[in-house]
Amino acid sequence: MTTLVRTTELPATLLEAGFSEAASRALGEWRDDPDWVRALRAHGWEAWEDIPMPGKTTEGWRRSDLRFLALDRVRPATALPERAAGFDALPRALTEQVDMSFAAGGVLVQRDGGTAYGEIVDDLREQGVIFTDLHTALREHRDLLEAHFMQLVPARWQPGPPSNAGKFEALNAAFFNGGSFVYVPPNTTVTLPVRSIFWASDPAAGFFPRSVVIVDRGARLVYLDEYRSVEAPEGAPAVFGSGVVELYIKDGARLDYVTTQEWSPSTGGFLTQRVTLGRDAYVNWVVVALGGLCSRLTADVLLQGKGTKADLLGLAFGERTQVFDIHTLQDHLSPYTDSDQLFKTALRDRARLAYEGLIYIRPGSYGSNGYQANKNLLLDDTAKADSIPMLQIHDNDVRCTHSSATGPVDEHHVHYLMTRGLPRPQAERMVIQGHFEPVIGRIAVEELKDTIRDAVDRRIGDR
Amino acid sequence: MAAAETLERPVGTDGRVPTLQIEGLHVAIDGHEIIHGIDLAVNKGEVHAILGPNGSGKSTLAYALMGNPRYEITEGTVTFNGEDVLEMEPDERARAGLFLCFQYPTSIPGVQMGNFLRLAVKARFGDKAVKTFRRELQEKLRLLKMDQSYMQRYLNEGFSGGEKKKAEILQMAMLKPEIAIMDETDSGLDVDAFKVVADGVNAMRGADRGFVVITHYNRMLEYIKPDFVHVLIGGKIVKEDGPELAVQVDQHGYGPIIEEVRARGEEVELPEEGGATYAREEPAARHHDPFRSHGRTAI
Ligand SMILES: Nc1ncnc2c1ncn2[C@@H]1O[C@H](COP(=O)(O)OP(=O)(O)OP(=O)(O)O)[C@@H](O)[C@H]1O
Ligand SMILES: [Mg+2]
Repeated sequence: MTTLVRTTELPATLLEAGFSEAASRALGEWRDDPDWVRALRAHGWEAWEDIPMPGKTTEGWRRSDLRFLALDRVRPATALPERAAGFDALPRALTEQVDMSFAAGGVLVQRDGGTAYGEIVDDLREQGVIFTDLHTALREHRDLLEAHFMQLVPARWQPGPPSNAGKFEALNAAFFNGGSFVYVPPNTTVTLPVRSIFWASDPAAGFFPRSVVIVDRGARLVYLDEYRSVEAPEGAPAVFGSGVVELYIKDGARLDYVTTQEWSPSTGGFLTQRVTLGRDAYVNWVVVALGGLCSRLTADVLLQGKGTKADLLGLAFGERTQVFDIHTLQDHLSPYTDSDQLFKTALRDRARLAYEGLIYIRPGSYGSNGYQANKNLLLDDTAKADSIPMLQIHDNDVRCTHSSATGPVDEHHVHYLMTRGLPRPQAERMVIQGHFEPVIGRIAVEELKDTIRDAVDRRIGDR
Repeated sequence: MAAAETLERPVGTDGRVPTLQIEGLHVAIDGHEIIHGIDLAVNKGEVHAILGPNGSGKSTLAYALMGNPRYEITEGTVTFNGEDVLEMEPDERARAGLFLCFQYPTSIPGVQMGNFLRLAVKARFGDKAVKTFRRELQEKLRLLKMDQSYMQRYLNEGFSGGEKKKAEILQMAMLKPEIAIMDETDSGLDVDAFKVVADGVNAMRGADRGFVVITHYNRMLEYIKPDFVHVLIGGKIVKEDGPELAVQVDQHGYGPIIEEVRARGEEVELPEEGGATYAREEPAARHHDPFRSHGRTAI
């Protein structure tokens, strides 16, 4: 247990809007960065300054819409929250949105980068499972973190193939504030889901969580990551932030992972998540993107070890003027690696999707299979989807396919259901739900499936 | 309400208003007329067989009756229990008690069979029916020798030909229509599947249900004895009679009937060889303690 008493008082530099080197340093001091971390934070700032702001001509950013950015009007941080006595003592604005109906192995709720509530079952703690906030972990678990923190998503990540991320990951490296750390020791099985919930509650402050998850050799973990934010006031710029998650799945380990992005409709943000897989490791990852005004989501899987397997599934439902900018990477770095990706979206009103997915087969990754499919339902003529599935293959002994399909609800399907007595709105609803079912069905937590189904259902609205 | 209007129309053999009454029906697809004036009256308790060569318009008639928007009714009337069917949406027709077993059932990814059936039964019979749903479903599954696991599968997805047809019969059995149109439910079935399907249909026969059985084969009609047989060629019913007509077609084919029609001085439009069977391309309460009884530690 940490005995450090920290002030929740925010240093003056962080009360001012805008990002600066001084602010980055002040943040590090305020959050008690150990020495070895200070250098990383400093690198983050340098990279942020060096990497040009992506624009309409930047590879991987052509269809992105960054007009929501108002960096000089965002404060880098805000005061840390009081600890709540229990989950129910947290503000209603948050608890109302979170599904707590199912059993968990641990829950960590962070508000504006600080822990507002967190518990782990003793059983897991006794088995050596570590679940804590990032800052505590950086101080207390250097042994585990030095080799993992900012390694998969480094402070300086020069954009270029196969990934064009870098800029906003650097901003996160300079201003990371909050995040969680999960460690599962070798051959330990954690099937009760471990949950992190990140809530940005001050619309004037940026949110920059950075998390590290390590599933050690032969271990298993079910991990849920949830992102939420408050609405921006009328006339104010969009709530802004950039989150990073680094996930390490060691040899023979398995991770079942669900990311839920349910930012408020007036939030513009970035979320970059990378998973690396050791030999014979497996990840089943479901990304659920429902919130945000403009959101860029980067989901990368590095099939590093021989014989690894990754299932990457995703769904997004856009309404009003929401923009989803989704980038996925299946990077095959070893022989006999299998990746299977399925991303499904539905868009209504004037919502827009820009999807880019790359299967990258490195030389020597013989015997590998890479599959990728993106399917988009346009529920209104005004909705738009740009889908760019890409293959780069540098080994000939592999099997790869990719496909993308965008179109309205299939009238044949609707008609068939109607001939069984379902009125048109109900028939359409059923077809739309059915569109997402192959993704929702893969969520590792049974109860969460219904929560996601309901969330999708609400968005379908009255057809 | 519509009774006064229907009284002026020809009535069924025993003086009842036919449950399904088709008069002077013309149907076109993409502006091209396929059905050139059909009259047909079907009562509950009756089994009508429609025979005809490939491409003669049998499925077109069935689709038009079910309200498929691609099939345009250019002339004629159709009533169901005296009500104007042509004014109804397909779902209204279904809830009124009209059912079509599709020749080529659509598969719908992501829609679970069980979930769908429950909603369909609810749509037709109301909330009450949901109570007895489970039990009835079990019963019908047993009758059709279908495994419970079908209920978790996506509608017709990856089903074999026989499984699709069984799934259609299952839907019919659960929705208990007044008039069921069965479009070649017997084709593409092996002997065992055929028998299960035929038994399933026979089990549903009764005074409260009428059938229109569209088929190529006498095999089906030997199981399900028709009361009336209609021969449809070139978009017209060219001959109608009792069950013996089916035997006659089975033995001699359509040749003699076509000659007979030509001898009457009528024209018969014959579909081109091979271009007949039209298979549509298939497009592709909150609990706030998540730890329950576990001990926990603050982190
Ligand atoms: N959806 C459609 N689009 C285009 N043409 C169609 C369509 N449906 C039917 N047709 C045409 O209408 C004619 C009648 O077809 P229909 O399917 O009704 O015949 P059928 O008697 O059911 O044949 P089969 O015994 O092969 O099932 C054929 O010429 C067919 O090509
Ligand atoms: Mg047909």
